[in-house]
Amino acid sequence: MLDADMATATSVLGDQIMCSSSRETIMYQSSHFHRATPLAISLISETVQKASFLPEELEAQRAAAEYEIRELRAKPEVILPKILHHIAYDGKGLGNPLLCPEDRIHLIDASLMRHFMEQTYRPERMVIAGAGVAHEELVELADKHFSPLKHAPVVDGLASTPSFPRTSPSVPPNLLHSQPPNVFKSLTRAASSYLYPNSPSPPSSVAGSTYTGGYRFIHDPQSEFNHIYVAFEGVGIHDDDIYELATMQVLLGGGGSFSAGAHYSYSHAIDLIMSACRWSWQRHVL
Amino acid sequence: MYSRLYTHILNHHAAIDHCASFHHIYNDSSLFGLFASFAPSARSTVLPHLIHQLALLLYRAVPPEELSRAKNQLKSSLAMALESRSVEVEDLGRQVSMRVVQRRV
Repeated sequence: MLDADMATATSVLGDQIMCSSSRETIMYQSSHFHRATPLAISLISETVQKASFLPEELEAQRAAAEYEIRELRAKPEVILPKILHHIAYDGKGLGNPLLCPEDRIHLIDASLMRHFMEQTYRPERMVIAGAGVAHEELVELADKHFSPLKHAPVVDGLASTPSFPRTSPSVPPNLLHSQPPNVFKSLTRAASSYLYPNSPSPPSSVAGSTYTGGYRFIHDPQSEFNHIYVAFEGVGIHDDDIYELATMQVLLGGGGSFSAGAHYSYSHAIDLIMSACRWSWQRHVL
Repeated sequence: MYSRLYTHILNHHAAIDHCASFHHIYNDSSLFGLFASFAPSARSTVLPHLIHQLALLLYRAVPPEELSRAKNQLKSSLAMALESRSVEVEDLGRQVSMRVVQRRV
């Protein structure tokens, strides 16, 4: 399916379809009228499994990524949480940059993208969730559109699935550096050891994250405000103490001096994880 | 609006433009902390204020009324976030994926 066909299909059905990435997940999400569910799932399935990565589209995305990264670097409230993660986890695992380092954007090509997707988009790490759709319908659609994944042999590696018609590109180049999450480390290591039986060690990006702490001072006499971040390691999502910590965060609260409150909204594993780390793309610009 | 960083910090220091707590939660770790943006003239006083807020939590009991307000706020923001279908479906997917990961790893 061509880019333009994709855009037409989504807009005609009143579809809102997007892809976003955070440190632990990449999410393809669609909001649409009920009758559009089959189309939405087929579009997402094609995007996930049969991306074509046309050179001109990749080039456009590289340019867009360069622009966006430059823009974001100028925003302390965006870039400082990323630096904070980098320092907190010593640049590994959760400390890996979510934004592609500028000097590496030009290295991203179709084969790298495909490699990443084959390593990451595996059925055992994939969840299909729906709200407002009948369970049976979703199961049927998932079976119809995602069952080829079951049969994808792990050892295929970069060869991928040449029998599929290549269609629309899906993943923005920057995703390559929102590396596989640390919690998947054993899975990923297993997967990469199949992929590269001869390589001495798995790619460094799949190393786990250990909190190390540290500090960084950035001197910028040009900036209007100074900024301070102080962070500590807290418990993970599965720990019983997570709600105590969450309550403490709400208790401290805070916000801007001009807007009264409501800067935080706390939703189990959703909001704050995403707010500082998310970078989302509307797919129609891809 | 009645949270501590408002009542203890923002309402008293005009030079501080922004001051908030944050909590980034992951599968096996989280980052909890405070940040502030402020006019450069205030640079020597801001950090001690932030640390003081953390010290208060460590060494002073939280008044029951304040604690219950924070708990209610947490509960209501959880419940209200789930009013949105797109948040609901994202939460559902995330919970499943995290449970699967927890079982496997």
